Formats: sequence, C-alpha cells, structure tokens
Amino acid sequence: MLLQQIDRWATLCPQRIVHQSRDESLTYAELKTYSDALAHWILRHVVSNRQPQVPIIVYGHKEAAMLVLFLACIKSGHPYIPIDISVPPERLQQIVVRSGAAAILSPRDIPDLVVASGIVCQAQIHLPEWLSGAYPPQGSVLNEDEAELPELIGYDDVWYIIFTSGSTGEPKGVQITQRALATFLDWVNREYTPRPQQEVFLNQAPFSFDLSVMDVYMALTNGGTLWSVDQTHIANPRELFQSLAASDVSYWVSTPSFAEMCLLDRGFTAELMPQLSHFLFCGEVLPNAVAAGLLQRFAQADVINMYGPTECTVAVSGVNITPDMAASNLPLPVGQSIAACQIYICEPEGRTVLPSGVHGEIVIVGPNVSIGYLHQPELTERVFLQWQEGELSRQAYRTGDIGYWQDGLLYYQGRRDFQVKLHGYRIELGEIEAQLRQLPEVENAVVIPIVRRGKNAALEAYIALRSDPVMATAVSDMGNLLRQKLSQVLPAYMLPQRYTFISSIPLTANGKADRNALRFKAVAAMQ
Amino acid sequence: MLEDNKISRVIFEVLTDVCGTDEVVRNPQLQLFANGLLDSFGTVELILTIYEELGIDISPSELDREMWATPEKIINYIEAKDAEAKVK
Repeated sequence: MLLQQIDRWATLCPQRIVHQSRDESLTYAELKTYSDALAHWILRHVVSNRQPQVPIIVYGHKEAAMLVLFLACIKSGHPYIPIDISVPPERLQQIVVRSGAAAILSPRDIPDLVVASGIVCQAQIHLPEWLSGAYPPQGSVLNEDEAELPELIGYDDVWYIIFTSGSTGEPKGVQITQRALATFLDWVNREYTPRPQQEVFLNQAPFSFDLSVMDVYMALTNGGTLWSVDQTHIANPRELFQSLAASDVSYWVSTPSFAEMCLLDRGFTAELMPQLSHFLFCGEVLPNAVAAGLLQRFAQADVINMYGPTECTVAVSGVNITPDMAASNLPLPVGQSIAACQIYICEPEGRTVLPSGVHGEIVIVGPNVSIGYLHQPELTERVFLQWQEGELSRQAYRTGDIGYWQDGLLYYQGRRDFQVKLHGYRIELGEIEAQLRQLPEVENAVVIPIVRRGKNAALEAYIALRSDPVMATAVSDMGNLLRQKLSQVLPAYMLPQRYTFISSIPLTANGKADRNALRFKAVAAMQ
Repeated sequence: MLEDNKISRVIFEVLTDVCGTDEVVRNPQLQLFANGLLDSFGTVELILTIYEELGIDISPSELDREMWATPEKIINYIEAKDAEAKVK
C-alpha cells in the first residue's frame, strides 16, 4: 500500500528533507508525525459526523503543509482535492458545491466567499506551532500519543480528485484510485529508475495540475526530495536560476513550455544542475527544438517525452528522445514504453481497433484509467467504457486525442474537439465561451487559440454584444471589462488575451459556429 | 547602433501583438504584469522577437519584473543595452 511505502522513510531516513520551498524545509520524520496527528484531528474536529470518504479540499500553493495535508486526508480516510491559489474564489466555490466536499483546509487564508458558504473551513494551518500547542484553534489539536490509524483508503478507493476544465462551463473532477496511482508509480519508478534516498525532484507544476503527481509521488515513494519553485520564481527568472543553482535537482519534471523558457537563458546548462539525469515532460507537445537544445546542453541527461490524460493518472506512455529524433523534421513520438495498460487506436466513437500506421482516436484500457468524474454519471458514461476482451472486462477511456502507432512508437496528432493545451494547461474552449455568454453584455462568443511560432500562444475571444456595436474608442474598455469579469470565475491561464467584437458569429451550413472562418480572419489580421 | 526609433517601433509592435491591445502604445506607462497583459510566456515571445528584429540578446535571468514593468521601461532598457553594445 502506498502509505506504507511513504511512511517507511520516517524510520529509514527520518532527517532526510522531503520538501524544500525557499527557506522552509520538511523532513520525512516531520511529514509522518504531522500527517498522523492531523489525521486524528480531522476525524475528531472536521468530519466527525460526516460520511466516510467524502473529499476534503486542500487549498494553497507550494507550502510544505500541502503535502502534510494530502497525507493527513488519506490517513483519515478521505480523498483530497488539491486547489492552487491561482483558482479564483468563484471557481473554488463552484468546486466546493460540485464536489460536496466535507471541508476546506489551508495553510493560507480561505477566500471570504467560500467561508461564507458554510463549509467547514480551517485556514492558517502552520504545523510546528500546532504541534507545540502554541495556538490550537479548537482545544487540544494534536496528541502524539494516539495510536496509528488503520489504512482507511483501500486499493479501489479514491485517493485524489483533480478538477479540470469542463466544456459545459463548469470544471469536472477526475477521480483517481489508489490502484491507478500505484500502477502509474510502479511503471515510472521501474522505467526511470530513481535511486532510493538520493534523488531531488523539481516541483514546478501547481498541485492542482496532475503533472505534479509525478514529482510528488516519485519523491515520496523513493525517499526523494521535492525542490519547489513557486509562482514568484517563475515570474522572476533571476530568482528562478538562483534556486535551480542551489537545488541539486536530478529529476526535472515540468511542461515543455517551462523548459523552453529556461533554454532562452545561456546559463541553463549542465553546470547549473550537474546532478541532472532525467527530464520528464508531460502535459503538452514537446517541440523538437526544445528536445535538441536540452540534449545539447545536458549531454548526461535523458529527455523523456510522456503522454497521458488526467483521466488515466498523469501519463501512460513515454519515450526516450534520441538526438536523431530531435533533429528530424517529424514530430516527436510520445510513447514506446507503456504503463500496465493498453493503448489502442480506434475509429472515433467506435471500438474497432485500427492497425499500425492508421490514424484514429486514442483509447486507453487498464488499471490506470479513472473510475469517472465525481457526481457526473452522464458525462462519465460519455467517455468511459467497459472494454471487453474475451471474459475480461476492463475500464477504458476515450481520450478525444487523435494519434497513430508507427514502428512501435505512439504519435499524437491533436484533438477531435475544442480542447486545447496552452503552456501545459488543459483548456476546454467551450467552458470559456459558456462563461462569456453568462455575462449580460454578451450575446454570443467563440474562443480560438492564437498560434505563434507553431504553437498555441494565447486565446482570442470573438464576441457578439447584446447592444449595438460599441464605438471604436470603447472597444478596449469593453475588452478590459469582460476580461475583469471573467477573471472572477476563471483562472488566469484561461483568460482570453484578445477581444474582437463582431456583429454576429459566422455559422457553418449546419448552424454551428464557424471556427475556421474566425481562424482565417485571425491569421489574416496578423499578416 | 540601431536607427532612431527602431527600438521603440519594434517594441510597440511586439507588445501590441503579444498583449493584444494597442493601449500599450497609447499609454507607455501601462503596468503590463499588474494588468495581466504580460506573463512569463509573453516575456519569452518578447525576448525572441527582440533578438530576431533587433539582434539584441537578452537572458531571462538578467531581468526582473520591475525593470520590465511598462512599455517605457522595456524601451529604456533595450536602448541602454544597444548603447552599451556600441561603446564596446
């Protein structure tokens, strides 16, 4: 069981650092002591009268307390929902309602809007002070003498729930069981061979983005250290590079966009991070030039391109990119080594498996696949299915991704629908459009990606307003107003950067918004 | 040294494109990061275009956000860098 794999380091290497965030560090001994004690506190004070296994929201950014709270939730028998502070209060409130969460716990303040909703809230959880009894908020909080709890989350129970963009206008919660997480970890640990108690893993992605599951749990199951870079580091490259130079990072886990930004700096070389042995990329297309640049500057490191949707536990395939692959004009493959599952190419919406070389929809079958979306049976039924092979029936997921197999390598070619990746974030354009249409000023809206240098760089919203077309001088004011209103319900990475006002949305012959017409318009405007 | 006004022309052009508004031209003191018009990835676009259009090489780690907070500050920084290159 995963908890045993994690807790054993408190005995084997109690003083080893498990999490380093700026000057704040946490040891494996502290992780176990604090999470055990907080699990008892959760059962006594937070969910004592609630049903078992109701999720708990853990809200924050890169604090060490986030890891402690994740494990405390699991030890108390509740799956956790990680939410980053970049999520605006109204969206957080939507997630509170949709998830039916029992409580929200945070090392920070919790937005007033959410506190006012009546959910059980505990803000400002600072662990050493709590343990020493400096300011227990509800009587005696922590009692180190309490017996260790039995494992309350079973192999087929939900371990975490990640909320992703949903095309209907609200985020959806992907439920990942312990079995799915353990299957993923067995594969990445076997395939990419981190050494016990020796590795330092870069944590770049916020915890609400499932890429972080890779670095968090590879570290925790190997007695590794998580080296955290926060949003201020990423906004200030000078600080970021100082942090990287001090890190001894050996496993780099990030989106390709983040590495691309670092590569712009001449100082981003093996001398900066001499211990670096692996780049593990997932979340978006890895451009050939980025892979080539990394292989040139970090000759000692492997560059691994991975693929997988959140619904199948982070990643289900990976391929070690060779200098020849990076130098070629062909897109990089995304899979060769496969987790304990099958990856089929099927006719869209169908179950017929297509042969190697033929393009179709990627369908993933096996224990990595989520049990479905939280409290959304209809949506779950639409994309999850039971895959029959002889007597065996297994959980499967239609990814909506188009791809093909060629010479034992899996290639990704894009989406069947209006989901896009922007700097590694998965965005349903339909969710932004639905939020825009809810604004009183907006009659209709279509959002399309702006492509620069061959990749999605930003989003553009085409808006038909309810009132007469605005005066030219008021256009930028209207754009700012819509942007400001949207920012209350959508995270910053989902906000369109440009707003173009048109009298009506062009339609195709069958009455749907003609995105291609708008795309051509956007391209023409840029030329 | 680059021709007069080329730096400001290129910077205004690329900022208009990356930020998606010509307000950057009308108000050179506009706070780009604080107003959500520029982020780390927009900065990467800017650095790449400056290199392509002006031949001036900038490393992300030589910058902090305060130095590049407004269109005017960006132009001043690039002009100083160009002048420095000329002296060398």
